[in-house]
Amino acid sequence: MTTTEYKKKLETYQGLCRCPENFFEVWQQRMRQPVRQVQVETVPFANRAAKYETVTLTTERGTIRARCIRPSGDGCHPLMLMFHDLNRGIRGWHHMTRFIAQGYAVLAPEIPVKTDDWKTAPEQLRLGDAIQDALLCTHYAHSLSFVDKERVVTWGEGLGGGLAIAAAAMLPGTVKCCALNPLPGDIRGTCGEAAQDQDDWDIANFAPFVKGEVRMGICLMDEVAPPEGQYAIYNRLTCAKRKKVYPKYAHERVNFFENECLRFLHD
Amino acid sequence: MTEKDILDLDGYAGMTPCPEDFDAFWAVRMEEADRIPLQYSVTQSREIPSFETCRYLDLWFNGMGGARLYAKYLLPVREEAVPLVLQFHGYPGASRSWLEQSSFAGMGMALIALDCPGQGGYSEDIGGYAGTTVSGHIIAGVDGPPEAMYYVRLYQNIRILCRIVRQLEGIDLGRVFVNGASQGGALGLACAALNPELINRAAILYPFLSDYRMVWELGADVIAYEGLRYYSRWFDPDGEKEEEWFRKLGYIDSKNFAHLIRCPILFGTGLADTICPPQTQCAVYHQLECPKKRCLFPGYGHEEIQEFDDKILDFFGREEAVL
Repeated sequence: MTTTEYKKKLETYQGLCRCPENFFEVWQQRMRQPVRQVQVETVPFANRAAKYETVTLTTERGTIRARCIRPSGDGCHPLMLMFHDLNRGIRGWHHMTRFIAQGYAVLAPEIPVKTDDWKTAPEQLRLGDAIQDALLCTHYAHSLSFVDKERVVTWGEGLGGGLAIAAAAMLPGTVKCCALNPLPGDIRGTCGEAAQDQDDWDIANFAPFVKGEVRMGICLMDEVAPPEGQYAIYNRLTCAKRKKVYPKYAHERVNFFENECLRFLHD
Repeated sequence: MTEKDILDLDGYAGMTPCPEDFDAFWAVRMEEADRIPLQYSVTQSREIPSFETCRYLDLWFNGMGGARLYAKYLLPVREEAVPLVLQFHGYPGASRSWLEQSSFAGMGMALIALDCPGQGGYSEDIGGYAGTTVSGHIIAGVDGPPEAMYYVRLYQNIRILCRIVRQLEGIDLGRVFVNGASQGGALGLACAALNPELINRAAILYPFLSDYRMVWELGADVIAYEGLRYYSRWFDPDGEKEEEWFRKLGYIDSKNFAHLIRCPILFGTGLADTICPPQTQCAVYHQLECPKKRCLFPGYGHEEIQEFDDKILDFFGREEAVL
C-alpha cells in the first residue's frame, strides 16, 4: 500500500472499540474524587515575568505532583493544561515557560507511565489510573482563582495527547485541545478482541464528548501511536476540528504542528 | 565517558594547534563584514500573528555577497527595553518552531533565531565554494582560501546581524545573550568571540565544529561530521594532505575561538555524546579564559537536556551573571 493509499484508507476508519454505557458519567465521577490535601511550594527561578510552583495533590490513591507557572501580573489568565508522553518525565521549566509569552498560566501534571510496548501489553499503561490522575489535576486547575475558565486549552504529545483529549472531553464549556500523535486510541483494534476490557478508558471513546475545538497532528510513520488509532480518535470527534497529517514524521515533535497550534491559540 | 575521564583530560586543548594568524585573520573578516551596508527589514511574521503580549516578526537582511538571510524575531510587549537572546540552531536544521522560541519571550526577553544559509530554513546560500559541496558544510570551501569557507561567511553574516541588533528599538544592549546547542553552540561561541563588546552572556551546550582532527581520529567523522570522512576518502585517501586541510579547518574550529571570549559562559556536556565527543568539547572549555561553569550530564547523549535549559532561567534571568 502506498502512503497515499494508506492515508485515504484511514480517512474513514472509526476503530473497533465500543463506548461503554455511562462512560461520561463514570469519568465525571472519577474526575471529582476528593483531593485531601494540596501543597504548593514556590520554585525561586530568576524570571520576573512569571511565578513558578510545584503542586502536590494528595488523593485516596496517592500523590500527584504537578508544575505550575503563571504570569507575574495579577488577574485571571488563560490556562494551558499540558500533558507529557509516556516513557519520559515531565517537561522542563524552561520548556513550559514558552506559554507565558502568550499570557497563559500552565499546569503540567507528572504522570509517569513506562512501557516496553503498550501494543502488546496495554495493561502496562495503567491507563485508568493515568487518566484519573490527569482529570483530578484538570479539575483542580480549573478551580484555581487565577484561571480564566472561558479560555482553557489542553495540550499533549503521545500519551499526553490522549490525556489532553480526555481532559477536553470532561471539562465544562468549550475547550481548545491540541494533540500530537495521541494514544492510545482503538486499543481493541490495535491489540485484538482480548483487549475489550480496555474500552473503559480508550481515548477514542472520549472523543465524542469533546465540545470545543481540536487541532490534531498525525504522523504516518509513528510506530508508538499507530495512525489507525489516531484516526479512530479523530474520526470520532464530532466538534470543530482540523488535522494536519505528516507523512514522513514518526513519534516525534513537529515544528510545523507547534506553529499550527500557536496560530490556533491566537484565533 | 565518566566524570573522572573528563577530569583526566584536564588541560586538553585539541589535537591541532590554532593557526598562528587566527586573531588577525578574523579581525580582517570582521572589518569586511563591517563594510557591508546594512539592509534589513522587520515585518509581521507571515506564519504567526502577534499576541497582545508578544510580537512575532520576520527579520530579513542582506549578508555577505548579497545573500538574503532570515531570522525569527520575537519581541515581548514591554514599556521598558528588554534583553535579547541570539539563538542558534543545530545542524543541519532550521530555527525551531515559533512556540519553542517563545520560552525566552516568556522570560521578558526578545529573541532572534537565525536560519543558517542553505540548511533547513529560509536563509539563502549563494554558494560558490571551491571544491566539493555534496557532503556537508564543514568542508564547503576547504579547497579554496580559508576566507571563502562556508562557516567563515556565516560568522561574517552573524557579525552583520549583531550590527543590526544595535539598531533595533526596545533592546537593552547591556544584556544581549547567546544560546545554542551543537552547531548552535559553535555559532554561539564564535559570535561571543567575534563580538565581545555586544555579547554579555552565553549558554553553550555540546558545541559542534570542534577539534576536527580528534573527531577524525576517533572515527566520529559520521552523521553531522561526515564531511570530514568524505573529504578524507575522496580527496586525501592516503593522508598526504592532512596537515594542510586540518590547518585550514583551524580557522573555523570552535576551540580556537575560546580565548577571544570575554563574557561569562554556562557550558553543558552530555557524557554519552557520540555526535560531538566530549573530548572535543573539553578542548573548547579548557581554553576559555572568561568566567565559566561546566555542567556534566552522565547518561545524556546528544539530546535535549532539560536540566541545562532550566539553569538558563537563572543564568539569563538575573540582572548580573551568576555562575
